[in-house]
Amino acid sequence: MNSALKLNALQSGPFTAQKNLVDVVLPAGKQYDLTKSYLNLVCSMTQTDASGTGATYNWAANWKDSAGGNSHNQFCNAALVKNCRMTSDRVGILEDRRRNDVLIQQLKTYSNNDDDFLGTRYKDLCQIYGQGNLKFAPNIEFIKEGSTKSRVSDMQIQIPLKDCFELANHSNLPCDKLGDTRLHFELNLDKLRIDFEMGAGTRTTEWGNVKYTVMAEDTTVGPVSTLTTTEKFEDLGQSPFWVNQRLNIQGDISDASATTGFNEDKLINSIEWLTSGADKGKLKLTMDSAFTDISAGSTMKNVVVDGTIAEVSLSVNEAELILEESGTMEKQDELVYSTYLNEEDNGNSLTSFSRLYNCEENAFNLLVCLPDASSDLVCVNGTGATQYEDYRIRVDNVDLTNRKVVAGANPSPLYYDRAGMYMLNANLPLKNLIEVAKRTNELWDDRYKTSPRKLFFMGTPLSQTPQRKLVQLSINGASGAGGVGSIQLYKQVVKQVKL
Amino acid sequence: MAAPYLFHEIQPENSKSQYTEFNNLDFVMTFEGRKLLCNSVKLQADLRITKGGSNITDSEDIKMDASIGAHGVVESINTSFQNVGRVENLNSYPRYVGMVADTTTTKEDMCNSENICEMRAMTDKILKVQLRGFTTDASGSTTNNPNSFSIKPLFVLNSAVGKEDPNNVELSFKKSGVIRVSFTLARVFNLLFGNDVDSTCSYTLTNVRLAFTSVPEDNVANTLIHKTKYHIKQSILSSRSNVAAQVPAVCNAVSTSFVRQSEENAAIYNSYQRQHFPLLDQLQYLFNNNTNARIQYTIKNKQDALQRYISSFRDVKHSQVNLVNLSANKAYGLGLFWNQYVNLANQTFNISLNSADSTISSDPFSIHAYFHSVVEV
Repeated sequence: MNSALKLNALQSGPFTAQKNLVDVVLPAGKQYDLTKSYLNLVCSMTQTDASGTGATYNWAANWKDSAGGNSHNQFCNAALVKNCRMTSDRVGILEDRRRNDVLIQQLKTYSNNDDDFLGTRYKDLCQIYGQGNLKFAPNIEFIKEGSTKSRVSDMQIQIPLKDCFELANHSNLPCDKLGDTRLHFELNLDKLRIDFEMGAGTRTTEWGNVKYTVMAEDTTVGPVSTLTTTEKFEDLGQSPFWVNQRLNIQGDISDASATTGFNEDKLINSIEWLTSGADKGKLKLTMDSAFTDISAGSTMKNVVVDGTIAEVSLSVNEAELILEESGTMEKQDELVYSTYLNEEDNGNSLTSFSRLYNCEENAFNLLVCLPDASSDLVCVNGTGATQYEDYRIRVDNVDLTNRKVVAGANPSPLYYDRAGMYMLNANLPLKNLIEVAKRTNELWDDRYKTSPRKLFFMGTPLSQTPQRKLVQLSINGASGAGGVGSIQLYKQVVKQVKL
Repeated sequence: MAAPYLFHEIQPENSKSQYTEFNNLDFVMTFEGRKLLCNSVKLQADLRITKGGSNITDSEDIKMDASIGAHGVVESINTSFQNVGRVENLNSYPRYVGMVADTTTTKEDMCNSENICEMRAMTDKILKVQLRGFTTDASGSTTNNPNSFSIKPLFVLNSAVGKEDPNNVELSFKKSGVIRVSFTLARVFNLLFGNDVDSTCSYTLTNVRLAFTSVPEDNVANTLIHKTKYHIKQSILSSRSNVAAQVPAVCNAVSTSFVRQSEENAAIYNSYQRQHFPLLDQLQYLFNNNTNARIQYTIKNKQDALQRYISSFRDVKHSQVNLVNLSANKAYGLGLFWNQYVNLANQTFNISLNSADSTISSDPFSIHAYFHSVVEV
């Protein structure tokens, strides 16, 4: 039987943008199933507001742009690993992946379809709006009915090892032969930002539907501490309310002679989903205290609720490896695996770019990633106008295509054919050609909006050769759209290690 | 010459014009001189939902669990072979179907024809409309017909794999003898939920039949491995609980789900809900009371617990376990897959739960645990 165990990182926390190195050692003498193992970043969350009521607030993780603002790019958990390396006592360097963030973000976008993304969303740090236009933080237990308070727990960011190392696709990594095996990670914590979700002034944009925030009129005389929604709910998943949520309540008390407004911040103590009477299906929110008073002959009307202001911060306190120890030992004499070698370059904004690169003899795939300058993560084909119109690749002076591969707004069939060839040769499924960079601030109906975030894929299979190959990349960019900027070349090579 | 493929359709032994809650449907499958093609067994019927004796209308909030669909009419399935004896007794069957749907499909998958014919839908709201019945194609027709369905029950006969050749799932009549399959129909309050469900609601099944396929006997011996499930239900009466189970079988996984006891078998509420076990602080799976052989640490985090639940069925990356559903008190469960078959007949398997929710003692939960086992025929 496999056993799952926890190994602490050699470094102690907290990990920050400056202190971002994590090392873990897999003990020698055992074999490990790395397909099910992951690096776990244990984070604590602090939520503070001026009221000091200990309310529970929603938040969202975002990717910084070059100016430190919100790039709104969706990112996978593995994008938090910038560089990673696997070394062993007896063999030396097994894998050394530079710019793992760009690589894994690009590959995942094409090898996972929307349903695949949805299936892992429960453990994704970065959330996007789903149907219903609500998103919830992964570390908060939102209680939407009853009186049990919603709770903020430690956030645990799972980074699967197979998103960092090709050897992690091995279900029996022979550390009995390799000796102590060290995994080294350099984290992208400087790119991570935590933003407040459903805060003050967001009821029209972040609460699913603005009509959910409109409350029913009331004429019951006396102090008022309950609100009833005007909308009926078929499913609590649509509800933007949770117990221990702090709401800003605004409305009017109106009688025949005057209208007086009120504006109070209150905490939800309990929520009842009404099951009978005219209001069945509506939510009744009971606050911690009265927020207004209705006198005889008056009506409480025009009541709307909104979020309140608070501060949310996340601290990565610990790093640990959740490791699956294989229950069975396999006899192995050699390891044959593939890995990615990275070469970094810059196109200096040329719109007619052409350059020669050296590729190793054992390289069998070449992926060219052109991350946008803003996020340095997502390979977007221009922000607004098309940045890359077409490309062409030559290997040892032989053209791989007899015409240019047209990308741009309307890619040619050849473009998709080349993408398919690359993915097939990398043994990855090509499941997604929507080619849209998902954004964290866009609602469900806008999820496939292609402008300004059409993706760009450039890759090709290569033949293994007796000597190094010369690969010429030619990329034509539209004038005025920025030209070619940062270039990340990923050369997938075969490696063989005698044990 | 014997027909190469033969499609059988049989009626219940206790044949009636219609069936309703608590009725038994006993089917006797005989296929002398032939081999049953496993994974081809389907229960088919017409379903009519009524309230106060009348068809339900669009103003009434009466629905079924969209992830379960017509599987919800079957409370339990008992399967026995004449030559082997009882091979599976699966209780709380619809909940199991819901858990499988939660962990292996997305809402969009429910639009696939294999799910549509089982009366599954993307949302409960769609199913609510469907339950009113349907009219014929004739122009201006006001005929209101019951919903016909064809479900492929997730039971022993539909979960076979060939031992020698995985695709050879033929079960010889010489091996099994007559197969008896008994379905017990669910109570109304379990099948239906919604604000307008009350004691005047009922459902009826008509045109009930069991369909399956057979091929001629070729006298080639083969071995089949059937996946079976053992269901255990216990109460969680306090925030610190230990669920101990001894299962008379070799098992390789367990999957569990929770529901408040006050909302089980009660009108209005969905009895088959896979509710969130609230404020879970610590979770441990223990073999033999004290050996944490599989997970050598205490699970303290929701993502880890959910990941292991999904893996207990098989992680196909499609699941309805997402943060919106979890916040809506749906699609939650716990589970563990332990890679190899372990005989749980002579050792106890424990699930230790520690929650910070103090309301559990006043409003307890039921835990439904399904142990995944195999039987070789």
